[in-house]
Amino acid sequence: MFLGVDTGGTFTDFVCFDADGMRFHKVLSTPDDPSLAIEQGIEELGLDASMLHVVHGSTVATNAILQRKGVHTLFVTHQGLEDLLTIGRQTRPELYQLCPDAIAPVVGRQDCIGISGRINASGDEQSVLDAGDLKRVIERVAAGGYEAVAVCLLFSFLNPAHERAIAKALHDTYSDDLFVSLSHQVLAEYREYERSATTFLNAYVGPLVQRYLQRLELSLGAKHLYVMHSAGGVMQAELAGQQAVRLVLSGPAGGLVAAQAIGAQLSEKHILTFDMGGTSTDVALIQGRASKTTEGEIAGMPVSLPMLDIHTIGAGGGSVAWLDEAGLPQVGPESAGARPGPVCYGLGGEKPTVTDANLLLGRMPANACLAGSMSLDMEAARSAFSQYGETLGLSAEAAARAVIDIAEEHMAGALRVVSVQRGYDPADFSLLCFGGAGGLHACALAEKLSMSKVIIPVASGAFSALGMLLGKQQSEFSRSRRFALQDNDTAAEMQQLFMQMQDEAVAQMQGLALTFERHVDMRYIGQGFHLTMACPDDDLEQLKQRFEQAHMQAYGHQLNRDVEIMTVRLSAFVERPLPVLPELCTSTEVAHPVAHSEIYGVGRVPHFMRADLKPGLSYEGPMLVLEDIATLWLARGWQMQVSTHGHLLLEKIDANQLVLEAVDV
Amino acid sequence: MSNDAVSISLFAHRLSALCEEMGAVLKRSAISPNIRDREDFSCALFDRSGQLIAQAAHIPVHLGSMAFAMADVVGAFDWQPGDVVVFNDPALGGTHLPDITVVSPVFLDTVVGTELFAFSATRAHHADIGGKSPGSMGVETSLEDEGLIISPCYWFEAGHEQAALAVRFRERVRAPEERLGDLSAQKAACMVGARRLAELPVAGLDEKITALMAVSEAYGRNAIDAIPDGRFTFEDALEDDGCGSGPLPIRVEITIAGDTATVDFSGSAAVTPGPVNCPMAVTAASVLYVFRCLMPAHTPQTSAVFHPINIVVPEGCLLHATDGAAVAAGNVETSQRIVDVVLGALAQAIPERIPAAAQGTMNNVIFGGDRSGSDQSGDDQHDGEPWLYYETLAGGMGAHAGGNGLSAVQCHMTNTKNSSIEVLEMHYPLQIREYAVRSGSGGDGLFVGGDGMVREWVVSADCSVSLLTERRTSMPYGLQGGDAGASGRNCLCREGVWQELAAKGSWQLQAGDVIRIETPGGGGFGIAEEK
Repeated sequence: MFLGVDTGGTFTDFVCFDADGMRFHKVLSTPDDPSLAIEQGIEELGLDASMLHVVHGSTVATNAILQRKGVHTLFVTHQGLEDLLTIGRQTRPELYQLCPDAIAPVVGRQDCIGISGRINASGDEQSVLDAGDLKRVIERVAAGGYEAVAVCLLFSFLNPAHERAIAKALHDTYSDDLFVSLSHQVLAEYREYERSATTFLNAYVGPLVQRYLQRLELSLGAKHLYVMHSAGGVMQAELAGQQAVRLVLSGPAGGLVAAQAIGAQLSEKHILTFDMGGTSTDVALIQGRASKTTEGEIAGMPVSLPMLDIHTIGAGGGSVAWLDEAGLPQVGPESAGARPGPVCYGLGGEKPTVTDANLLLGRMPANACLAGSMSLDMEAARSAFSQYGETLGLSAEAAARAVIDIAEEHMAGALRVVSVQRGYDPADFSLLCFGGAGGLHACALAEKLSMSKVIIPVASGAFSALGMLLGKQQSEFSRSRRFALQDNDTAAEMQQLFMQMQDEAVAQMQGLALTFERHVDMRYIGQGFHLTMACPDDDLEQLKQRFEQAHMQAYGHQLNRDVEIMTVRLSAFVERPLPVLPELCTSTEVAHPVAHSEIYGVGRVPHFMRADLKPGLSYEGPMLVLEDIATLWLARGWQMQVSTHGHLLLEKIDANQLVLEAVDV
Repeated sequence: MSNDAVSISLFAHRLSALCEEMGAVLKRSAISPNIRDREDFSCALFDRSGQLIAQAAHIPVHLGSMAFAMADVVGAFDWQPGDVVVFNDPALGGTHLPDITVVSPVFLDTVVGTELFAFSATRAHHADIGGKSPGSMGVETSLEDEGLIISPCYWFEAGHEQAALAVRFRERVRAPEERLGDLSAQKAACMVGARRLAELPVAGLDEKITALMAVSEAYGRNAIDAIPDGRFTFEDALEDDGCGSGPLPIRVEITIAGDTATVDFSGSAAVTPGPVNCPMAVTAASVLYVFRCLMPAHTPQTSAVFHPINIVVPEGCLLHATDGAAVAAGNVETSQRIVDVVLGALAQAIPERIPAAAQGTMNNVIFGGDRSGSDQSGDDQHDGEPWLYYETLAGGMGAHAGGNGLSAVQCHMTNTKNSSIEVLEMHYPLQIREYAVRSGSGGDGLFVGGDGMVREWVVSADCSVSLLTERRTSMPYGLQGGDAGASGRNCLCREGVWQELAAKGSWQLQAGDVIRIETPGGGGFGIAEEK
């Protein structure tokens, strides 16, 4: 049996399927040792761990990077380039800040060492790596008491001989006591800063992830332990330690995998996902599959491995409303977080937030259970907004409405970044909304972006854990090599690289039946950015045509230039039967509202429990739909059905249709 | 009013998101590294009278100059849908010749028919625009020698391409196809801006723009109001103009009166033969940058925020370049010194908010040559084709009352990214031997100035290098008792022998030569003994 476990900041979520259908569970996370919450959850679910295939979304790597609590790591590169990671892209973070705070780099100069060997841009050895270099590196590791070493040399993706020689020398001396990351193994692609940063972070968190997963494996005694990686695939725990930097989006990737699976189930290929939390909101685009990027970033450092393209903005339920110097209302980026949290939590928060606004407007029941069994203080929210509105000359409610409008503008902006900025029209997409607070804003966002469909999936409160069960076992490989598309040898040389990567995949996932997918990063000769194109066969002429179409789609124009390939990519995955979501019984029995409330600007609206809504009937807004940790605001002008699997399918009522109905009456 | 405040806030957010989207299109579809990697460009929207209503914050030197650029251009054409106008003339809203601006009008369908409503524009630094030196950033003595001067002209008129522009590029500019590719990317970005703007609900758009301008002016007034009234003067100098004239004093007197400021550069040096002259747009951009830094982060990027600032520059001054004066370095070097003097003056009024001097230069480095057999890059398909490589180098920022200055970052008027060493070595006959923080170059003080940087290139083919740099003999000043930052250095090593190069000039290089640039450190703040 498969169990999905997603460790979050507050809760650890569980999803499993068995004879009784799909089961969910939530326990409070145990940040000091996340495995405690996992053991507790398995016990409370009454499962026999020895029978389980556990798929885990872990925050160990992410937190260690964000909190700068990785292991003591030595960075090895060329003499003269030791400051590579410190200089970065040589930009300052804020354009109009005269007195910025100096933030210490993740890796200080004392933790960098340079060697003299050099490989040139053709992949040839230009100067040798001598024994003295190796000796200095080895001595430095002992002298500095390093637990990990990251090695990044120029053009190692063309010729890894020097990186390998350093690794061998280190292994000869320290055997497996030292964690070593080589840039050509972590990311065999060009651009030394991005490759160095990715390799460094891999070494920085590798030993931590390795130890954590080994301990978890022992303490759970599960049949198999897998981890979800940032690209939305699942990998064996043994492998995850070596490739720890691939886990930075381990949890959030689960949400996108689930969204993709549910989209497929509903035959909705074009989906924008929207996951609103307390301090931030994640959005992403799914076009049959979730888009990936190699331009990820964490804690100001690039991670250039393929990961799901999740765009995060600092706006959420806890975003604070304030008035700026010119008297304009602003929302965020300051957030009240979980503590003190919104005013209505009664934990000492004094600044009005988006959550307070939703409560005040009646869109969230005051007895909603948030983060446990907290009841919300409506009066405190009202008084905060009365004050806020006074300066604007607005009633408390009107001020709250304004704050929601502005917050929704920020969120719509984020959705535009992943759609219109990539050349997609959101009107062709459905908005799939999960997480706690998103349902309150889903209809409004859809309207802002001319979208007519919204999906609130089943299990939206434990969505990432659900995704853990729906991901394929998958590994990604890449090699940077420049090929002009019109060259005669290109097809053969590409083929050779693909075969090399296939061999690597087979060695890594021994004994499994693998399926391969080939992609290439392409661009017009001289361009700095590429488009990643599927490359199923060696028909390069067709490949070029598809590239030009894609360029047109993404940037609105084509260039009269030759095309080149910069990087070839291979995905290897294991096909396995994925669990099927259970169906609900249909019902023609009309559900009854459990309560009513007055909503500002709308009037009296009914509240329904989500569990009472069955497939077979259609409901029309305005109404509130409540579940344990989430609330849906179905606005006027929207109708809703429950799918046979329990997803709520919202659709904007066609304005013309409305008129016709009116005539009928 | 209050409901207006909400709708203005929403509108301002929407416009700035729209400029960001234009930037995304330009960055991703441009050809040259300077635009795509280093992001040396800006995207903006203007109302129908040429007032800046939104801009994506990319490069500060573009902000003020774009705000300045459009008013003249707008009146010069009888705009039709499908028009695309291109210009770079410093006398007509440009900055220096490599910065090419592409503008297209936005028409809206209203009840009274199709109406000119706004403009979308992009400005990008092109790697070459002709002229005597590769990269068009050499030491020349007239604008004519600096490259192709494009007065505002049609590239497309009512949707029809006018061949003349491409012909001029092919005649005058190095690697013209690359330039035209970049221009196409700029046009694509303008089109996206225009399309998105046209998608906004038409009703009340004009009123919203008027309201946005009125409100944004308040940010400017509030910022100035927070500065004590008084007269504050400061003087520093450019070292030289690369043609034997110098030092060239830059002097400012700032008068703060309530919520208005007058910034008067009378007493500064006169127009000079070398390329350090500034068109008025660049001088204004530099002043406005400093005041923009005193405004809150969320200030709308409109020209109205600058209305309370009056800039006075006498005719014939180096900071008010007249027709025909060489200006290549005005944008990239003189602008930094203008910032230094404006900050120096304001430091007397608000010492706790003003940092010591930053490196005070952009360290412009341009390599260029023809691809030939000696080219090690293996790029044999492009044999004989000219190549160009331009970059600016980071340095130290000044220390301030709150802490040390940042090391090895782009300062003040620029914030372009570096180029990847591997990308550079794959495409050009250049190799990087050293790229490091220049330890100890920041001025000492209670808080220490940021360190400069060292970058060393080995050239593997005969080629030329042009340098436009400053603070090679003078030093970035410290404040409140802090020491000055170290001067920069430009060096050439040929056959094992090092020689120092001038701050500005062009040199022929032989395969095997090494160019080493050490960039200045930032000034210190406060007395070191009080640490």
